[in-house]
Amino acid sequence: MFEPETSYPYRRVGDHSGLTTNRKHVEHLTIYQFSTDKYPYLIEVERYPCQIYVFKFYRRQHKKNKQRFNLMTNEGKCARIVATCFSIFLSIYEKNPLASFGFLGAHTIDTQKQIIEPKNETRRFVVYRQAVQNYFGTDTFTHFSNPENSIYLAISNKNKDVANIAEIASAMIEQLLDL
Amino acid sequence: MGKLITPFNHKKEVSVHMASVRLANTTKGYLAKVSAEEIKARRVAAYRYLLP
Repeated sequence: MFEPETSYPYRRVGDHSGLTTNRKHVEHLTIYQFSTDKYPYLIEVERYPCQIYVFKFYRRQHKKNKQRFNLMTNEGKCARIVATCFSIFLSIYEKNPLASFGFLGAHTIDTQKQIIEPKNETRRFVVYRQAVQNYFGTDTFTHFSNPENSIYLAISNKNKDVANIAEIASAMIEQLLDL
Repeated sequence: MGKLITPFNHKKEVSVHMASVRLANTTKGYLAKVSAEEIKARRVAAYRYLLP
């Protein structure tokens, strides 16, 4: 369902150092683009300290929208889009086995239907968590989650001190949530 | 004359309070380990691992 073979062809469209992105803790930002049958999408891959890569995606049309991560496209292509994220992560992991995979399942905001989803255990979080747990095993990764904020992190077991990375990540998340 | 014993130690009270504040802050972004058993229970075994 989320196999990389089903991923959309993607290309890198942006490469920014942490300084130019002005995003707290972000060391590097890479932006990829792909297109479904209907719309072009962007995937932002943020690299945080300890080789943590966080994946975010949205429709290119919503690039300037502050709620771009919260909007539903209703296109029904979630599995192939997540597969594209996995495909990108695998290419990163091939080059850097210390790489860890993280995501935040944004809560849905639908102004037309007047729906604002609570931030804990969002629908996106539940789906992405299931996908990560199906495809990334416990031999290669140690899995951590914060359902209260719908955050998930799979830390590569190639790292010497996985528990310490989880602590560092927790501290960063705490600061980012305060922003 | 015996030593005056205060009913409670103010310094200790403050330090306990600060500790609880720190604890409250650190649990906000706290990442809990997901056990292998939990993952195994939730995982759909039919899917093949991309990374085991």
